[in-house]
Amino acid sequence: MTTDPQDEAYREGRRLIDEHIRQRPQLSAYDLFRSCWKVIEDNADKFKGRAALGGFPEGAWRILVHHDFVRHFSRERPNFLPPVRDLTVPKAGAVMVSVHTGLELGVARALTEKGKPVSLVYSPSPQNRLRSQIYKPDSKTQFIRADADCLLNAAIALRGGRVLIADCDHPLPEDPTASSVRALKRPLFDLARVARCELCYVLPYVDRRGHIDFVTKSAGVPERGSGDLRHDFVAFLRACGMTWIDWRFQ
Amino acid sequence: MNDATEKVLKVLGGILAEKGMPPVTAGSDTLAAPFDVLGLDSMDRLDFAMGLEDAFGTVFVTSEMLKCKTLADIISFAERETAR
Repeated sequence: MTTDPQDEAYREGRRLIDEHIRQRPQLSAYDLFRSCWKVIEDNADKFKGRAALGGFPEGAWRILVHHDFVRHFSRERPNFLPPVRDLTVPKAGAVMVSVHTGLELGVARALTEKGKPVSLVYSPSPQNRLRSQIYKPDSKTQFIRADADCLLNAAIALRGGRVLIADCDHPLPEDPTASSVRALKRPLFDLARVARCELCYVLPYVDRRGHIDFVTKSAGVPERGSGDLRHDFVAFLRACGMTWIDWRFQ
Repeated sequence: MNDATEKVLKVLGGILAEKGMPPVTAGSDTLAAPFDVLGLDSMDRLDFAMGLEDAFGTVFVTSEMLKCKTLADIISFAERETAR
């Protein structure tokens, strides 16, 4: 039986981490996390293959390794919460649109830590349940199920002064497994205009210290249609370096 | 047809027309049918609620409105809200 070299490199990288953790029981959870992440960065060639193993472009490797590592690390240190960077707090009742990265709960936590009430649109999938276990949302975060009443619930939350966080990208119906082609749907962009509240673009990412950081841009209270806004959003994503996805408007 | 029913059907008719669908008439079967059969997506439902706010001059985007399951429920809700 042959072994995939990327798979073997990743296993080797994880063994390095396990050994690193085993040798440092005295470190605080945060210090241990930081030093482990340094091992990951210093051995990036072993970890970059994680993206290919999951069928993702290489640019996504840090996020995927972060998911794996934080889940593993939380078993060692159960009370550990992955650190989040400071996030510019939008005005009350703002819509923060993002794309699926698995780090949306990090955005929610960055805001709740600043005392902002947050609502997050979610689909009840096994993947999202797993991410909840990894990134442990604050109990004050309201979850809005992505169903036919979703935007009504979202508008109620916005009027209540909550910040709404939601992903606006979806798999293509004709090719649901493609990771390099995604659909951008219009409703969230229209919601900000219809509800007359600020629209913010946010892209969470994992920085070189293993912290969840964010790039944000305010689009103000939109007066333009969702077509223009989606072009604007794609330009934002590309300026952030997310160049490997071909976006389709649906 | 009372005033509230007329306004609700007019707002709904505008949304259905944009989708290329025929308007809803005020028959008792239609009003009692589950709201879901109208084929409104999440954005349509929000547009409908916002349209009702403009038509009735009162707040519709509330958790109370989410409890409405039929057009008759919506009309009753509209009558209650405007009578306040």
